[in-house]
Amino acid sequence: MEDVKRWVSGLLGILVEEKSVGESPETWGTLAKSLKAVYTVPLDPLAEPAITLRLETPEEDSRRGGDDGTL
Amino acid sequence: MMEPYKLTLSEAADLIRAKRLSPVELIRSCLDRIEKVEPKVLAWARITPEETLAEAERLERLLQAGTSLGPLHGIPIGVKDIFYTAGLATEAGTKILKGFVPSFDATVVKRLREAGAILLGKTTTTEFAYFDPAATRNPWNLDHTPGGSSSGSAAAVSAEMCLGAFGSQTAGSIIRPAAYCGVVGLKPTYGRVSRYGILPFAWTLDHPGPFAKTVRDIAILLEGIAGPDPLDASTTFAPRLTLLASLDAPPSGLIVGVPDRYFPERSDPSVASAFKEVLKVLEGLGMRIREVTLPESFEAGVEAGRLIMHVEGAAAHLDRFKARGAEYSPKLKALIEAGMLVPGVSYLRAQQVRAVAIQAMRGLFQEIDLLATPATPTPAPEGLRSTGDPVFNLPFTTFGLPALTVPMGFSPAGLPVGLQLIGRPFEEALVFRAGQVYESATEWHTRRPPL
Repeated sequence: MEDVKRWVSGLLGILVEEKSVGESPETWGTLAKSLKAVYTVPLDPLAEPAITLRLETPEEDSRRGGDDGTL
Repeated sequence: MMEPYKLTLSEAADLIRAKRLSPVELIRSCLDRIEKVEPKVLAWARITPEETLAEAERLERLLQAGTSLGPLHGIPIGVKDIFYTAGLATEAGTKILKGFVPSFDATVVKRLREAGAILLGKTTTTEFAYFDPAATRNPWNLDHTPGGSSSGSAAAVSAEMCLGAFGSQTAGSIIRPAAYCGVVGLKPTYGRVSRYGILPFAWTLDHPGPFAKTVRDIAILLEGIAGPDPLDASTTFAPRLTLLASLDAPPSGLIVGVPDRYFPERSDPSVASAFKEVLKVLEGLGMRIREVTLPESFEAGVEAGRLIMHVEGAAAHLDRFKARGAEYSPKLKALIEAGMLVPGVSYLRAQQVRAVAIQAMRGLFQEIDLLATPATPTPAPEGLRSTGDPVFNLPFTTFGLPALTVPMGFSPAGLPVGLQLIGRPFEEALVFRAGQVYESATEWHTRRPPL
């Protein structure tokens, strides 16, 4: 697990301590439960994820702009 | 006339329209109320009294000249501090965004202003709208949490510092604080309200929505700001919203489903007993109560929502986290670090499972018109280190269904508890009709905290 964590953190360019200050056992427990749960549901091979992609018209695209708050 | 701050939004709007109450008078009353109770409740990140009064004077002049901007003309509103407000700081409860002043309004804020609302200020939020709490206290008992993440919006309306407010829900951040604070709150259908200009937490789970003292007030607020927005693709296909026209239509004959699991075993006795009384009232009002079995995929769908929130939360924060990770509070830091380690295939699996659960819920809604549950498992927990548990709200956030909470009673310790009514996608009108008739038959929503 620690190897995976180091590898992913390295790829993303994030410095994660081996025992992070913010890390709490309940976060990992919660996530492990969720990960297991989503593999208990049998899926139709044609099942699509609940994400939609809608491409903008040029007019809509031009209406975007301004400050996005990124530091 | 009673103190203007005590009015409901619809009462104030009617009086302003009839020129029996001036926007300036109303704003002054709310500012006086803020001065009196805000030191105890701490619901505001910032208020702008001078600008607010100037705007009230402008709106008053317009009225005198015979122009009303719309149904919210002169109504003081609070907005969660993750909504962009042009020229007014938006800091999201974090030192990382200290001093950040957007150059434009979020679509919700823009539409509020166009409908004549007055932005009284920005309400507090947990850090970046996750679980690290704000300093806000529950107006019903200052030693208890108001819930989160829209802590300030719920507390400000409950303490009558403004007549309505906006927040957002990614797990349970509207329904939970509204119920804990004894006010009405709505998480609309995903796609009903534009998310443009609101700091994202999880793109496929974020829902903006209103808080107010009554169901009618919520309907006015929602009608004022809902509708397609070219800047938020999720809103493009939303059908037209007509709430007020059908609000008073009798809901007799509606079939109300009550889940046979998940909710009963998690409900505190005080919540369970208030909910039992609700069902009697609904039945007395002509609705048919039917116990229903939730789809098999319900729980897995909820877990899918949790997984999606971790991954999308990590993705939304990644750049900031790389630059300033040490400044993040513990709970959000843990979510980001965990979320970035989830394999991409598992995230997509979660979205597939979510789609399966949504489809199964559609099947359930062929047998019933509405689903009724308690809004939270318990009344507001004691202490300010936690904002409570969104376990009763996350399912409907994940499935994108509209959910309304209305006060349904009080615990023996005097804390409010809320009813949650859930409808089919984009059928807010039906949810509102049931909420409105329940509210009219009870008096829980008229009680105010002893501040």
